[in-house]
Amino acid sequence: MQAVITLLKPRFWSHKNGDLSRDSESRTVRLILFGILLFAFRLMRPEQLTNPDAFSSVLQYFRSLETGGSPWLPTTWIFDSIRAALSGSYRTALLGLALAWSFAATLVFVMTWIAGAAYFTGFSKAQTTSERLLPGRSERSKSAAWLLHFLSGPARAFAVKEIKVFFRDQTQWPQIFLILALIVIYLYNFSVLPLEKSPMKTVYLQNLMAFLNMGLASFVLTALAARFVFPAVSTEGPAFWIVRAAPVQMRAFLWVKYFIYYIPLLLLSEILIVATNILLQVTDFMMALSVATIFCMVPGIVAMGVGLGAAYPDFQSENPAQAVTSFGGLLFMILCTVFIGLVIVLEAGPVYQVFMAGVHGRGLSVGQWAWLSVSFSLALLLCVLAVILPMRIGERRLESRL
Amino acid sequence: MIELKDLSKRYGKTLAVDRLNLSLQRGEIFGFIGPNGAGKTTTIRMMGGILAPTAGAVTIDGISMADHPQEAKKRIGFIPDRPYLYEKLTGMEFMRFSADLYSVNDGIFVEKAQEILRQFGLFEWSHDLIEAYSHGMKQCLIISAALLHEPLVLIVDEPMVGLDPAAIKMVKDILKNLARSGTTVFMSTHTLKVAEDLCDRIGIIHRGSLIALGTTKELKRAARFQDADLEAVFLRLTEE
Repeated sequence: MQAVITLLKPRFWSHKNGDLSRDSESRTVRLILFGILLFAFRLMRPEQLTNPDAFSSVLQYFRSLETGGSPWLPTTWIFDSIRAALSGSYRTALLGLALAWSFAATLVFVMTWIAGAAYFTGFSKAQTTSERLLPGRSERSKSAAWLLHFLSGPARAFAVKEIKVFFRDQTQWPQIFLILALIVIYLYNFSVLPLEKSPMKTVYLQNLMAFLNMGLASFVLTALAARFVFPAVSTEGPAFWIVRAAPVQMRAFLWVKYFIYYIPLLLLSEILIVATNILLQVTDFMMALSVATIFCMVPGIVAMGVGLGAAYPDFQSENPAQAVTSFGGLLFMILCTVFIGLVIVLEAGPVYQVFMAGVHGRGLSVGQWAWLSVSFSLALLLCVLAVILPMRIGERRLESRL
Repeated sequence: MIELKDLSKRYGKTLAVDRLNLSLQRGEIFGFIGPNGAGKTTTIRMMGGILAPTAGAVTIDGISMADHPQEAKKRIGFIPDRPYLYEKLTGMEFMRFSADLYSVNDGIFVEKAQEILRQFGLFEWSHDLIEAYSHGMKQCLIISAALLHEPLVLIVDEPMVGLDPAAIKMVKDILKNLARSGTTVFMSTHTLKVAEDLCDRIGIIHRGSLIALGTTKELKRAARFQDADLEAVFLRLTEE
């Protein structure tokens, strides 16, 4: 059925754009549908299946879903055939089997007939030339570029180019939709956490979850960086000669890439962490700590994305997003995991002390203050090194490719 | 204006360019010819600062490419053999991008960009995405962008590939006019007729070494082929 729809699509689908964009439109539709499916599944709250209290209602729910199969559907013929074979009614089983196979054979015949009639016309219609895709684009681009007018000429050139190329690349949009769907589900998960059913004190559990959530949010950020930041240098592709020939330092080129991705990812991470903390109703201390920790970690993760992406670029790949599956991409994921783990571990002890002191209404001892200072200083140092080192390594590796 | 001193490039065991020495004057059009794999593109890439030489030096307008690459590159208009561009930008946006990179004054940009694009017949297409351009249009756009900042040196790798006859004639005229106004043009080409028509001097590179250098007449004399065309001279000098 899908093959028939694909064959007939070019006859009815507007051929305003080239076949390439049509393919990405179709991909976008598929991914949006997948996102809706994901939402629908999540909103069914499947975690209730693990809750014994909810069993009776879930069973009732499943029962309500049971409907009789239509006698016109191949699934019904197959089901009836198997059921009949198991109960020894071979005549009924053969009838079901014959219906299923003859239907499949009929579809092959119909498909071949439609292909004969429609394939060549469809193929020819799909071979369209690109038309005037962007009437009046120049006016809009002026206003967009004006926002970046405070930058120097070369920095503005790269920044404007990066933003325009990113948003005009249709392959990025489905990914953004999918990621937004996953983020909404992430937030929804926090809103339905059954904390009150835990044997632990709720206030303790809420703050523990908030603390661990810093790590989880950072992993979400790492996944986003792996998809969008790490391939940022590779997306230059064969046009990288322009950067090489330009009177611009490689460092400036990389830092422009860094800031282009740093600002939106910082905003997204902070929104994620603040929203989950509000859902968890955490203490002010935990809110401040989460916001500050994420603020310090985002630059490190983005810098590792840009830096390692520059150290292991793939300018030949047709799909630069695949760069993340390379050795460099794997290294980026591992280093980010280690970085996030170290920062969380460094903060865990002192944060526990501060939290318990708050719960018991007592102050911190000198030793605890010292521990807190050393741990937080080390975490901060780690965040600074995570920015400087990968950017330098990336710059040197990219220069050495000369 | 362009000075190449003992310029060498080695890729592993392969010596692509071997101690190349060359000096080009202001306003000169220099043709760089040679068989496939002779080292033309490697030389051109080293001159444009896209590749670093293994040994030797490139000097543009008295500025060392190794010591002050940004300053040297500001003086160059670089046109590669294959027109790889940012396909999701429009032609005019690419011109703006180039103008910003080379710090072309905002006040004169629009007028100048439009003038150049009109000259190359691209103005009508200037607000279309580059991905919709043909090979020749992309090549013309690269040439347009390279001329935007009025470079002192124009380094061109195979400028005529993919261009229609009218565009070829136009590019030849543009290069002649640029040279007349003082721009030095270093051009590699396989089209020997173009080299013969345009170039003040021609260098022949073979197996990474400069095997002949001079005017067309001097090359004919060197090949002992006074009445032959450049093609015959080239074949004689590069024959195994």
